[in-house]
Amino acid sequence: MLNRLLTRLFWSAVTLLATSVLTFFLVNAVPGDVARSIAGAKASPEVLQQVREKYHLNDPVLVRLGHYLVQLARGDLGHSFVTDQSVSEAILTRFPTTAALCVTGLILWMLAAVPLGVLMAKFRGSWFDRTMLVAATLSLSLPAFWLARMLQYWLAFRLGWFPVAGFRSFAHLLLPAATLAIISGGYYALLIQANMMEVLNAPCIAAARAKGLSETAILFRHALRNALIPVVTVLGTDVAALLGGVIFTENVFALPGIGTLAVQSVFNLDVPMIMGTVLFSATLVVSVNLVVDLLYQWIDPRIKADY
Amino acid sequence: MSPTECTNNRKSRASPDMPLLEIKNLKMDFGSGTDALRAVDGVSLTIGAGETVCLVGESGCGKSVTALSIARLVPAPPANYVGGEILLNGRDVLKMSNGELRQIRGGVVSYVFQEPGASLNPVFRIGNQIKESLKLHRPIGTPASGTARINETNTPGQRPALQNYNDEVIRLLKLVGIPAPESRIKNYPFEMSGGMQQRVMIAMALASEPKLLVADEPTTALDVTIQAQILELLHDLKQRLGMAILLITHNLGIVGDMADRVAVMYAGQIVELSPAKELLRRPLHPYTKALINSVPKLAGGADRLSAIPGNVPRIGNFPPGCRFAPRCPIARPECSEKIPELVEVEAGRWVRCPFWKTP
Repeated sequence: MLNRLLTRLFWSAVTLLATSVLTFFLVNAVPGDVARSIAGAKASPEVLQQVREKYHLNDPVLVRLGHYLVQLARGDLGHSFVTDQSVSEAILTRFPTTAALCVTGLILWMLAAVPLGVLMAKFRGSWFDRTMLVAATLSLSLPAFWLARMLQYWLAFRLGWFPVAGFRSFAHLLLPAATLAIISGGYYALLIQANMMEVLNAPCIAAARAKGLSETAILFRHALRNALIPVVTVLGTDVAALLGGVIFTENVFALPGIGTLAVQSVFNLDVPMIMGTVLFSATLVVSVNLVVDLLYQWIDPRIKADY
Repeated sequence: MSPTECTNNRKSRASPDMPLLEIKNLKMDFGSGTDALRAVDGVSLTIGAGETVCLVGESGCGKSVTALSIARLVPAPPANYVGGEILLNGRDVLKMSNGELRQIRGGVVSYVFQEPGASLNPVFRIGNQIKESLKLHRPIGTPASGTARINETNTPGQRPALQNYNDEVIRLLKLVGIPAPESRIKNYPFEMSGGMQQRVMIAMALASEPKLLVADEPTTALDVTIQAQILELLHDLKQRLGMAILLITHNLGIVGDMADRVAVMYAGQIVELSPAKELLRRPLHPYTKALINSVPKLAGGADRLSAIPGNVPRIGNFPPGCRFAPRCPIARPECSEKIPELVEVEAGRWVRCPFWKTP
C-alpha cells in the first residue's frame, strides 16, 4: 500500500515536471514581444534593452529553462513581470475563491446528478426518464462560456434573482457554480443511470429485495454504491475539465480566482504568472487524482486486494 | 389499518392445520395483452410447516418464477399475475401492499440463490449484510421474531430479545459452519470461497428466522464436494430449526436425500406431484420416467446416456394439448387435443397424464 502510494507520488512529480517544461516552451512560442508588453507600447529601444537584460530575455531558451527549473526546485515561482507581485502569493490569495467555486459546483452537481441518475434508472422509459435524457444531453453539449453568459443575462440581469458579477457574498457563487454543475452534471446523471441499470439487474439486488429491504435502501445503499465505482474513476480525470470550466465562468462572472488570474496574465504576456497558474492547476489535477484513487479503494474493497 | 383489512386478517388467521404455503392455480404471464407469454400455468402447491418440497424441472419450465412469486419477487412488469392465489400463512401474497411484502420477505420466506458470489453485495462486509437482515426483522429489544404481526403461528417471547447484533451474526455464522466467525464478519464476499459465500447467504436467510426457506438451485454454481456439504447443511438446519424448505433443482440426485415431496414441472405446469421416495421408486408421468432414466448410472454398464428426444418447448410456443406429447414415448393422437388435468391417482400422488398406467 505504502509502496503503491510512493510510486504514485513519484509519477505525479514526473507529470508536474513535464508540465512545467512543456508550458515553458509553449509560452516561449507565443508570438509577441514580452519586453514590449512589460515596458509599454511607447518604450524606447534602450528601455526595451534594459528590460530584456533584467529578465534574462536575451539568454538562449535552454539556459532560461535551466534557470526556471532551478528556481522551481527552490519552491519559487518567480515574480510577475507586470506587477512584480510574487506569483505564489498571487495564486494563494486567489485560490480560496476558485476553491469555493469548485466545491460549490461539485456539491451542486452531486445534488443534481446522483438523484437524477438513480431516478432515471428506476423509472426507465417513463416520461421523466425521457425528459431528463434530453435535458442531460443538452446540458453536456453546452459550452461553458455560453451557458455562463445566458444564466448571467437571464437570471441575474433580467430577472435579478442573483448578483450579476463580482464576489462579495456566497450568493455571488451560485450562478457560476450552477454553470459548472450543469455542464458536468448532465453527463454524470447519464453515467450514473447507465451504471445503475446494470447494477439493478445484478443478483445481489434481487437478494437485497428478498431480504425485505425498502426500494429506497436498495437504490441508494445497495445499488448506488456499486454504480458509483466507475463514476469515481471518471471523476478523477474530469477535475481537469472542471478547472477548464472554472476559467470561463470566473471570467464571465468576474470572480477574482485563478481563472481570471490566468486569463489576465495571458493577455499581459506575464510569463511567470502564466507558468505559475498552469503549474498550480496541474498540481491540483494530480492531487485530486491521487485522492480519487484512494477514494476508489474505499468505495470498492476489491481494489485494495490488488495492491 | 382499515376495518375491512382487520376482518380480513381475522378471517385469514393461520389455523394449526392450515398449510404454511398454499399456491392455488397460479397463472402468471410475462407481458400483457397480445404479447403475453404464459410462464406459470395453473400451478397449485402446498407446503406444510417443516416440510421439504422439491420443485424439479428443466431450465425455463417456470420453477424459479413460481418460487420467486411466493414473495412476489418477479419484477412486475413484465410479470403479470392473471389468476390464482398464493396464501402464505393464510394471506394472499398477490394482494399485499408493498409494506406487507417487505415484512414477509425475509420475515416469513427467505431466499438462497444460485450464485452466492453474485448474490452478496460485493462492496459490503458480510457481517454487515447479515446484520441488515437482523435490523429489518429482529431489531434489538423486540422479543422473538420481528414478523410476529404476520407470522402468527409464532408464539411471542419464545426466544429472548436480541441484545447485540454482532453476537447474533457470529452465532449465525457458527450455525452455518463457518470457522472462526469472529474474524470472518469483517470479510468482504470476494475474500471467501464459493462454498463459504453460500454459507453466508444461508446465514443471511436464516437471520430473519423465516418459516420457509426457498433455495433456488443453491448448489449449481458450486463444485461437487461443496454441493454435498451445502445440502447436508440445509438438511441439518431444517432438522434443528424446523423450518420448511422449498428446494428448486434440476438435479434428481438431490431429491432422494432432501425432499419429503416432489413436484415435477414441465412447460409452466406441474405434471407430477408425489412423495419423494415413491416418485423415485415408481415414477408415474412419462416425463418423470424419462427424467429418471436420463440420470447416468454407474452400475449396470449402460453404454449410452439416455436422453429425452426433442427440446423443451419455449414459453409462448407450447404445443396444444399435453405439452409433453411431442416428446412422449406413449403419446396418442388425442394427447394433442386437450390439456390433461392433474389428477390424484393414488393417495398423495398426482399425475397430469390419463395414460400413466401405460408401461
